[in-house]
Amino acid sequence: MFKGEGIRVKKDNLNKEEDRMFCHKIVLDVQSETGEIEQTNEYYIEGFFHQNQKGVTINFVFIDNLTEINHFKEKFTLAKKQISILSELAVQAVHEIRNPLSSIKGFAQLIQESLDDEDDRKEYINIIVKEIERLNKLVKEVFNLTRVKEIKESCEDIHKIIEDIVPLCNMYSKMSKKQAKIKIIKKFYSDFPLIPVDKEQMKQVFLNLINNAIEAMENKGEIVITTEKAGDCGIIKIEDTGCGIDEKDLSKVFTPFYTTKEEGTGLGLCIVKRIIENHNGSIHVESTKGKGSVFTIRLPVR
Amino acid sequence: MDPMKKQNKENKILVVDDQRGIRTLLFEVFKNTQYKVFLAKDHQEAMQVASKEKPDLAIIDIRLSSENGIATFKNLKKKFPDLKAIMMTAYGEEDVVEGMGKNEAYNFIFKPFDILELKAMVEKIFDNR
Repeated sequence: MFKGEGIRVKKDNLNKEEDRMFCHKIVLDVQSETGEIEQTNEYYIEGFFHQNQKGVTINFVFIDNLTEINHFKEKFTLAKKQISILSELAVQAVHEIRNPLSSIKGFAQLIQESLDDEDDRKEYINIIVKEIERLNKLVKEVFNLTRVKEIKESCEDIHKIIEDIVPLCNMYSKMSKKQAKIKIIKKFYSDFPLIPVDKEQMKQVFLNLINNAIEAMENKGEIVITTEKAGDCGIIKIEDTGCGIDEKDLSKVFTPFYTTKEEGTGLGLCIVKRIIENHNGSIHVESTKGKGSVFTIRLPVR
Repeated sequence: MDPMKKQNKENKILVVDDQRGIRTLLFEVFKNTQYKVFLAKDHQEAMQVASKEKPDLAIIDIRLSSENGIATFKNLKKKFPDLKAIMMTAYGEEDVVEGMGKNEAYNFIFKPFDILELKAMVEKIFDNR
């Protein structure tokens, strides 16, 4: 917390959350024409610095007395408490939902086992089981979004994280599109820096993006993963030769529950964006209908 | 039960879950197999049934309504050191799983599980004994 007459902050000092906050007192003397001080007013500016690739932005509130500062603080504490209650509620809800889902799925499978192979109802049960799996996926993703998850940052080799998940994506590609010939090409920048990230969360990011790219392609295509460095940022591009996104839909892709896929939950990209922003990074998408899409991630090296 | 399948030395499975649906499901899954299934709805019942039946494998929900499934597992294990276990867990409870540490004594299965996957897991545990 910076206090005092002036606010001077070195860019390097903005890493810790407490360093980004400031509270500054302004004393304003109201003088009469003769120069006598008639009234002394005290004001406060309270806010925080936010660092992104464009520079530093400052969010602040102007407060004309301390009561309001305390009021502001109380509101903030309350909001934080409410978020943690909601998060706990989400954990409980997931637990409560998975039990009935387990019973429904299990009994459906038992009924399926008892039916003859020619029985049409076997297909009905298949649909029931698939729909339960979809519900489960939805529950998982809502849970991921609502959970206030601590970021366990350590300096990681992004290339290694990508290498680790590519086999999973190839497997996914083989399973979901049996005839498809989809190539995943890596164009890694050899001097790419280590970046402080939560490894597990970052795996989720690449898994969602690459699997989306696979789903965007019909029978054959290429996914090119490029890494490069620009200033203090590491850049990761995931490019596909898939169906592309309509220009009018481009702004909606990161919105929750927006999906064009029959079996999608519409939360995958929303989760990706949230993880990247929690790492002080950014993500954007460019796309040409019928040609493909490029997702570009920027992550600060610090 | 088919009397032909009944062997002198049957493998016994104890299911511990506070949800009736899950208990009934697991009973149905294993009732016509070579295993004998016993059910318990909580920690106390699990200890009672186990003392009487001496199960070889316990399938326990990590979150029981009255107490922690891990405590139930540990207590059972104290009484029956050879007991194997499958812990039923859910996505988001990885921290609990991590807290248990690596151990050969148990496996995990995520709810909502696939009954074929569960059956295969149980068979493998008994085959390896």
